[in-house]
Amino acid sequence: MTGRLAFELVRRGFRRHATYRAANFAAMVANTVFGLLIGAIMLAAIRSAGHPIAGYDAPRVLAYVWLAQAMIGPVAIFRQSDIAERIMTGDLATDLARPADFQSWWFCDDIGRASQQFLMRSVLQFAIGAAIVELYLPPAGWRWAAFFASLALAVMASFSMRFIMNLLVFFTVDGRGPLALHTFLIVGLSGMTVPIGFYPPWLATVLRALPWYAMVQGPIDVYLGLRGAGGTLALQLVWTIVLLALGRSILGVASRRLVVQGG
Amino acid sequence: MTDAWRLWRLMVGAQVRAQMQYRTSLMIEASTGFAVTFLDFIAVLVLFQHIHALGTWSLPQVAFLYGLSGVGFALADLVIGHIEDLSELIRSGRFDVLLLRPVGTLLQVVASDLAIRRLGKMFQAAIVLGWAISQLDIAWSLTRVAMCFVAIGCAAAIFASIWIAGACIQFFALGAGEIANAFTYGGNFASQYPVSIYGPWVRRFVAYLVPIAFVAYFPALAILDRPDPLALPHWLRYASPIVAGAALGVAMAIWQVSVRHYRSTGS
Repeated sequence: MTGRLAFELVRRGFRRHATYRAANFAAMVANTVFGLLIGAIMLAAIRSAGHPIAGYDAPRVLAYVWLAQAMIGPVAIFRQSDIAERIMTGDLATDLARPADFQSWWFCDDIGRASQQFLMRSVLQFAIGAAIVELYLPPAGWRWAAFFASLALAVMASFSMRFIMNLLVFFTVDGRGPLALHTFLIVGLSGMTVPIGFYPPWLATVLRALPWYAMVQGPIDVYLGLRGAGGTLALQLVWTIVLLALGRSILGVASRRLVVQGG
Repeated sequence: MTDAWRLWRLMVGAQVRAQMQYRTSLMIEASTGFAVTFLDFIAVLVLFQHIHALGTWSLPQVAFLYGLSGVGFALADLVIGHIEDLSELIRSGRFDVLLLRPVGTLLQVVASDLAIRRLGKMFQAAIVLGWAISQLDIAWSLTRVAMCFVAIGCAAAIFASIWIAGACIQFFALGAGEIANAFTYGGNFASQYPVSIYGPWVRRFVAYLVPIAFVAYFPALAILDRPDPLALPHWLRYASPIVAGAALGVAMAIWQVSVRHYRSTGS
């Protein structure tokens, strides 16, 4: 794929999602309400414990809550089904006939989408949180840089996983099941509901080894300085490459058994 | 009324038969619904690994709130949750068709679906509620049992009203429907925890503007017969049925006004 085509795809992905202004605003309202509620619950828990839990004091746990809410958009926690819909309608046949690589095509589109969500939603979302409550801010400039790199990798890892989940529609015909499975796995295993450090140590170790760690808790750990930034970034990169390769091989198998709807 | 009921059964029956056609996907969806809602409860369990009580509420007590709210929410979601898809009806102009039929628009939208996959969610909340009851030392009487069922009915009615009122946003700002999620899913989430842990600002909002405190918190105070950490008036714990009825009335009024605002699709 040429650089020019990649750039155009990213740009169009960005613009396509920037059109939905009302939806972006609505999502921000919902995330803010959840940020307030989860923040209150986490604070009550820390107050009830009488000491920080797993290294999280009040400002850190609030940073965790608002970061997680701000990442919902770019990392695409909830159902995202562009590819699945094209499989179900049969439009996929057109996509595969294009003289451009299918996976790279959608990768670029998703980078555009995520950039839009980051710039027009996450930044504002996090600023709202920082304005309402007192949350932890990293002291060093390099930690911010590492966090943004980690966030970019989180988006790529999440894309690679969603690509696989969307392709599962080839095998189930109706798309809702596999896409619901994606949301379940990412909400359950990424540290979206409770910081992974709060889990019993053995379970936390398991969760940190799974790919979903790379999508939410990984960047948050880098931000809070709870774990080494270099190790986390490397792990995220490895998972992204593995998942992209896996998605590619599933696409190979699936397109061999492709039957276009309608005839 | 009997006509409405008969119509609802006919339309919903057809929907259910249709959903049974994609059995694998339906099963995956029902079980993920079951599992996704369990994640919320796992979060509660994980927090209680580090604390004995959240404020003054023990784990079984919080689980009781969770179960009460969860069953009511799933019930409302099953019957009316698809009202969120109203945006599709408006965008495509199909809402025009609903207006032409000699039946109320709200009934038609509600009867257009009954997503049986949501039974998974209800089953999960019921399990938590059952566990909480087995752990709590409740002085059971016929009144208390009845109060549990009434509380679930009220919770479902309050959530249904929030869904109806929330969907009306679509008539005014098409595409901004997710704002309603803050009140439906957010309301469900908020009511799973004791209202007393929220700051005064959030608390006023969930108790009075959106009557979330009447979903589980006040009924639980009555059923568990425990003092209110907020020391609010005693009668509030029995007020859920009145609040639920009023909420439904307000929601239907909002629907009527909003439908009049409907101007069909652009081009």
